[in-house]
Amino acid sequence: MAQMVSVQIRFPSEELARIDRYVDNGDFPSRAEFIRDAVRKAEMIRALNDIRKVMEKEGITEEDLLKGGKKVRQRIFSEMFGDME
Amino acid sequence: MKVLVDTSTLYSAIAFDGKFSKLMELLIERHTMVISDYIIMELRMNIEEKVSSDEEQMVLKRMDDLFTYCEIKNREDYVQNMPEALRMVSKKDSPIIACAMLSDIDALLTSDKVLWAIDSKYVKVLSPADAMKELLG
Repeated sequence: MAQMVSVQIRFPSEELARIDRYVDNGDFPSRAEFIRDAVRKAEMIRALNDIRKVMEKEGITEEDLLKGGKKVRQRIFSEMFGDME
Repeated sequence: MKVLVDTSTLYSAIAFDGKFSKLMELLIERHTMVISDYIIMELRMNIEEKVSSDEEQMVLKRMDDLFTYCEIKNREDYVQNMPEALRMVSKKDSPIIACAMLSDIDALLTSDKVLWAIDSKYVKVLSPADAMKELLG
């Protein structure tokens, strides 16, 4: 597990009250877990957007990826499950 | 819900800024996204072949960042389901079905129409349209 580092964050009281409602409802064990979860999800969406920007810049379409995927999948099956062929 | 996401849906989400990207965001925000070593390998190899060398490392790094927060299933987790999966679908699709058959996976999200026909007693398969309805619920 990664080393945990403490930070102090200031929140508007209304936002904190909203976070506390999730914790009180049992959706999250603590305020800290709510914030960690939000950061993880924001990072996943940012990563997805960054990849999408490159695809757009390079003119790579969904169709290009689907076509390429079919050929690649055949190769990977042989590499990973060759004993089942 | 824990949802195994097939590469066909991931391709749509990364190369098409429309309903698929919204679907992916919905999945990330409200559910648990699961992928397998087989899906990661396909995605990486396909991207390496398509993306220019200038951008390749950046894309692969951001892909790893995305997968860091997904639950990842490896060959040893699902290989026991392979004989049954091989009876249902083609060889190349069987590792996806074998993984989706795991008891802790609630559904397989795929844009591949061939896989939509699989009997739901083995795997619950969601098309993107089904997923929009079900994941919003």
